Amino acid sequence: MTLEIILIFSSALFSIGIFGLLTRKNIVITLMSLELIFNSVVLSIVGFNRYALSPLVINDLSVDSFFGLLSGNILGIFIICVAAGETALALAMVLALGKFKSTVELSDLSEMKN
Amino acid sequence: MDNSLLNIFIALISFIGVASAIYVVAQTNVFRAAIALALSFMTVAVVFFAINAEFLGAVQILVYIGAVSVLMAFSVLLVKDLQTASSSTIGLRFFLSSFSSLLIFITLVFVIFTTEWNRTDNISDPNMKEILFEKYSIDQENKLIINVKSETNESEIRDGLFKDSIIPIGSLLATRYFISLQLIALIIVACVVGSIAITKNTIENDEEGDVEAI
Repeated sequence: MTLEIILIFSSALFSIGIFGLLTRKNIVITLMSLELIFNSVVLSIVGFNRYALSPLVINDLSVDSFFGLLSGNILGIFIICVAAGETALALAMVLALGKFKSTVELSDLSEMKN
Repeated sequence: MDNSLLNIFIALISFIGVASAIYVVAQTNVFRAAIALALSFMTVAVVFFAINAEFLGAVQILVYIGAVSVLMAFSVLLVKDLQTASSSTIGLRFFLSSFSSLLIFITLVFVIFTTEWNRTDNISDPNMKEILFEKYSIDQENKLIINVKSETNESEIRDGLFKDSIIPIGSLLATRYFISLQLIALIIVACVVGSIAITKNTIENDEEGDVEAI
């Protein structure tokens, strides 16, 4: 039952993030919704790693493959790293936009259109 | 381990997390939204600690709460007119997006409850159960994971894989996932250099008084 609770929490965070991405026009709140989505993905991966493993992995007891039972955690660490880098880059772009164009609304940014 | 108590705890924590996430997407004040986002990240970190992923919980607190939320709060202070964001207007767009996100949620919950998961709690093999949740030891000569017996040397005994996950994660990062770790480091360096380049250009142009469009 713990796996189900964690997965429902994760999917609730995911759909709230999708909702924020679709409705809000402010750049920073859109970024926050993206972070919520990344976080829900990490949460579901770690929950799967702890509570639902493939029997193929479990029945292999050599040293090299045994620690592979924890590869979900490693994947979570990588996702967190990429999300952090992406946030740093996106916030630098927000700073540049606020300086040059004096706007933080996504609907005002339409230079590439047409 | 009292499993039902853990379930109730995680359910309460996730309720707080979902409430603060809704506060984030509904808030017009960006600074308050950043604080609520930090609370939401904190609940996820607490769930990590509760399901024995201590290392990931610590990384979550350090990176997300310590860096990302604080960075967002600082961006509010640095950019003019960012403090009050436009709220989402109730219109066709609002109803369509709430309908689609609700549809995503219902589909995910349906899939969660109809799938047969291979649960680690129902492992029938008692040796495997002991290795995962109790204690194990590594036979260096035969390259085997062995169960702890009475004659096993005290220094070779490690806690079970899901009880103490930090040593296995460290050795995985240093051996099997070494290339991936280097690639991630390269990506982060690229991100940091790129963001410094963008922001430095902004400051230089500002000093020259040349604040024209990019």
